[in-house]
Amino acid sequence: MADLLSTVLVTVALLTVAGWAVDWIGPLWIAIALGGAMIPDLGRLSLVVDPLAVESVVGVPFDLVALETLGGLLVVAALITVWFERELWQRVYGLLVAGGLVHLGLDALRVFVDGHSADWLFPFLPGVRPSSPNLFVSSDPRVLVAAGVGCAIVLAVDRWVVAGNVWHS
Amino acid sequence: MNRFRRVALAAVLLAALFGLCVAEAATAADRSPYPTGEQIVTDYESVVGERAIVGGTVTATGSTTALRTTHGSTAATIDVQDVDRKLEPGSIVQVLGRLDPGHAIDAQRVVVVSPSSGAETYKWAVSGLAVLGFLALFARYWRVDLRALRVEVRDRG
Repeated sequence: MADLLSTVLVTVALLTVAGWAVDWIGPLWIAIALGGAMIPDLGRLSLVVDPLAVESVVGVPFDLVALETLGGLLVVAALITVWFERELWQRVYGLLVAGGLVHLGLDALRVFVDGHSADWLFPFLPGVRPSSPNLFVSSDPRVLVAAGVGCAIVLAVDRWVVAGNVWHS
Repeated sequence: MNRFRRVALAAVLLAALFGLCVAEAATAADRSPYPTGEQIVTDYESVVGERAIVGGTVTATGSTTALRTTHGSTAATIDVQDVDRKLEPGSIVQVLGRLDPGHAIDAQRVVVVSPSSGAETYKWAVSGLAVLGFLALFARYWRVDLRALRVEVRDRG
């Protein structure tokens, strides 16, 4: 994964730009997208929930890495959406998925030893591992600097250039 | 939507999520051109001779470079042969190469994902900041009604 703060900053920047075209996108909804951007990291729960221990209890193969895939994102986003008021479901689900896609998309750009990202399109395109441009490794602070500068520029444009701004309307 | 229907729907989705985790694990070996991490850690002999990617933390450098690779709470130590660069203990690497007998990989290519244990700490620390930032923004605009089991827009009066 890219570090989560970079993912969050890129999500804020992209949603702010989207907010220039879509009236209803504001901080209320960007907060939801940020939650979505964290969904793929739930796969890290395998550091706490041992997949082999689960396998021995349930008797079938089991791996939380599914949460780091497109299929995992779509199901977890639905699982979160049901706790919101019914009339908000469409927006909540759409923004959770949008945030999650930012995360999965950034992850697919990082360095992989054979030049191909994980098969994160599971279960829709199982076994397909798109080529990665090998742009960065997650622990490189320059990723955060680039994301921070990009986000700051977008927020500055939102504040001082765009009339119907997202964060200060 | 009342609480009962909400919980029932969540239970169905949780079952779907469980099914996805099972399907992912059950088909992992077929989907990947390489042995899975689970095979390497729990059944090494069955994958000897195969081309593989092994990711892990460098535990020894010098005459022999070794890395510790994990699957859940189970771990294996693999010697890395033909490393073309100096690696730091505590760094996290991915190695592409052929798996040899005796838990060793003949490295074709090595990439350093995290150059030191400090770099890994940095990644977790800034990720923690991101979670705090999200929680602060979320709590400002949304509230959780535990009695109704519902998330609502916060009334900002």
